Amino acid sequence: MLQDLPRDWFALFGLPVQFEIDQTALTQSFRELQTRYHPDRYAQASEQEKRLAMQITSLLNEAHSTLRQPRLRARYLLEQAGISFNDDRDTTSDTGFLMQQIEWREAIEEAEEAAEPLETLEQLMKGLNTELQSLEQSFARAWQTKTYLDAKTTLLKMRFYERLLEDAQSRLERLEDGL
Amino acid sequence: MALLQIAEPGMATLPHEHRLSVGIDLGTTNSLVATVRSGVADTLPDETGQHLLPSVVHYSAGSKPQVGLVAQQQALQDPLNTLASIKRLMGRSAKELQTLGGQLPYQLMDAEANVPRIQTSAGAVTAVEVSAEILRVLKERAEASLGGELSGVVITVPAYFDDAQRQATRDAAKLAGLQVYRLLNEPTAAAVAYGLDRQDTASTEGKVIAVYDLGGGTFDISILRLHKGVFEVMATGGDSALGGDDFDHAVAGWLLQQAGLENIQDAQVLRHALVLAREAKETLSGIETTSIQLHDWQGELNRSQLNALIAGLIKKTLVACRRALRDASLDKSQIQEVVMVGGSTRVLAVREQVGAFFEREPLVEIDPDRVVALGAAIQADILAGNKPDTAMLLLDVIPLSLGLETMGGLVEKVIQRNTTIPIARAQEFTTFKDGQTAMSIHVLQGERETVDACRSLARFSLRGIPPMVAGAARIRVTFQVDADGLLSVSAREESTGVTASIEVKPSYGLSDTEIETMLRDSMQNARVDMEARRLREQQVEADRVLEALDSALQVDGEVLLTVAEREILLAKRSELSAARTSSQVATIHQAIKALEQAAEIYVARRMNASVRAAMAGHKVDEFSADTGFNRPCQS
Repeated sequence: MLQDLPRDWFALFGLPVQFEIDQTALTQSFRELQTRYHPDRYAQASEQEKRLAMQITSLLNEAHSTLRQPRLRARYLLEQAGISFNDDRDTTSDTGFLMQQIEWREAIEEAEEAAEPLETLEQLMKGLNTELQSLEQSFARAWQTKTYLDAKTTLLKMRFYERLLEDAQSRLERLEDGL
Repeated sequence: MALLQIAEPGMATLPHEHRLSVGIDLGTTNSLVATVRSGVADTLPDETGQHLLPSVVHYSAGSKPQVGLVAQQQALQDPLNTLASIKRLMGRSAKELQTLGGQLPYQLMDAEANVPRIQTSAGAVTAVEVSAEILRVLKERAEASLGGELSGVVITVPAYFDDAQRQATRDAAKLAGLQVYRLLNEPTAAAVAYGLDRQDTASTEGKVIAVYDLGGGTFDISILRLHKGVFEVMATGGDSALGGDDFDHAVAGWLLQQAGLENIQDAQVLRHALVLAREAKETLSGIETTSIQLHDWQGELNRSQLNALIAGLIKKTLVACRRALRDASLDKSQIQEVVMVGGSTRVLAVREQVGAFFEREPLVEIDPDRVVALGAAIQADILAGNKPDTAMLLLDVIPLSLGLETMGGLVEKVIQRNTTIPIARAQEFTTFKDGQTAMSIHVLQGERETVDACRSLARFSLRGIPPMVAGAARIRVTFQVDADGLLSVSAREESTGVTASIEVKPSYGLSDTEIETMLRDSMQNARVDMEARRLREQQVEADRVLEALDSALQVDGEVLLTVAEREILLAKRSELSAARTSSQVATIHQAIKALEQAAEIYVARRMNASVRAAMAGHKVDEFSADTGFNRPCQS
């Protein structure tokens, strides 16, 4: 999907092509572009212009949400650098890491049985976020030194943590809904 | 074809024309209409000075439906023909209504129907038609009060309304003859009315607020970041089937139990219990204890008993608040203001618990019943083009994830909840049989992993896929959610560029034909009037198109067009100029379309040039090539 959209999203927002991002500058530039192209600005225009405005802001929103989220930004950078992904096959062979993943998964499953399941799950999610942040730092280093394959491995590991987070969150929400 | 707007976004093409516009809050319990006059938003009263229009419609055989207070007064004598809280039925199937608690005291025609029809003495009606009656009354009120026809309206919907519920609201507006500029989320409208963006402008980060909106039948929580007129929704959550009505039902259940009437089926007694429950709830916001008489039973209800009866419901709203905070990646302490919206936030226990949850005193300055309509009016005024210099911009999100059915009854999410709209995402599919020319796609909305636990929006059949060997076709399906939060879907086979046709089967909601039929029925009386109006509209539109074209040509007609292209355009221009004087709507319409078509390339080039300048050398056609859009999913 990404490959069909314009390539230079960093330039779109006037940002340097790098992993560390100036969130304030991104937000400001996003707001400026939105102010200019949002469909609300074309409420009295022709159907064609309305449609164009909708397509442009759709793209702005896609680009903004990609750059704002570290893992999506990381993947975007690697794809721009010519690194390819295969979502069905790409995985990691780091057995230590995989063991850790199993432990996390068990902890999440067991959390539902804990005395305070909601709090326990939230604590686990905090821990997962900390792990993600440290992986983001590794990614930034690998990106800087142009060791793209290391960067890709780090990114795949980030995806593992995100899946755990998604799992923990959906369990949390199911518990909340049952309250 | 307001070509000039590219250079000057938001500029009305006819600068001196003030377009009449209103904001409408189509509520579960009450509805309101508001407008901006001399820069100030205010709700419009009816001829007796009442601003709130009870969202109640009374049907009787052989006469026009009654709306509002007069209808409400029939509720006790004629409960089955007096339809209240109809918003709870919007976009819902008969089956869903039963699982919502079966609290609606109406007779449904068919328990299996996707669009439930309620039996009344004036015939069967759908929620869309009932809502249209309410909208018509507000439209008449506004046009009488403003002295002219409305050019467009903004109608508010709960932020947590799904696609089917939004589409139903749009259909109701269409039936009422309203041109909808935008569906606006209620909490966002309230944030606009409070104007909190105007404070603290020094900070580049802006101000983060929470809007807690508990109405008669819906609950929303939205978290927004405000910065110099830009209202950016960070997360939204809620329950489109939770509101003050449920408080009333909880109290009514207690009353019936106390009176030994818990098994009674009499619609009149049930309605009476509900009315008493509501009165008691409202009274207890002012005093500690109230006495009640139901049938032969006489007793008292005090505030702490009330609080106990509704505690579970309030807790549910706080769970949604927690979730919205989590989605926005924020801690409670980062919320700088909490705004209370909706009549049900008058209940003291609600204010107390929301205050305790966010650890701050919530804002209640603006009448919680009127604040949403006021915000909608401000937005309508801007969309009408009456405030060309405004900095205000609302960036809203989609409340529920959109996904597709995959193998094994699972749902794969295509667009996550709380994604800023408009948004487009494409997904690629392939064929699994040699020569396969058709394919079906099931679109769902919701957060769960399984099809059963999500809400079915529509089923699409793609036809006309060129026959190829299995796996060779690459069908790219694009999901576009517009600024109203409505989904449309288009599909294209990538290797041949063939656009697959899409057949839409909305899971809920009315089909185009049904809406057309209803529209025709409701318009029979007003036909002559409508014709005249449409002619006037077409003439105004023709003037607008001509003027826009002339101004644009003056600016860059020579740069962007060849001599031949300009000649063609000018020929079409003279044709429209001649057609303008015709008394035939169709003649003018065709001439406008012809000119617009001739100008398409010019519009695209202007947009391109403008975008290119702004986007550091991007080619606009990289992302505007797909023009197979605009096929609404639900209509």
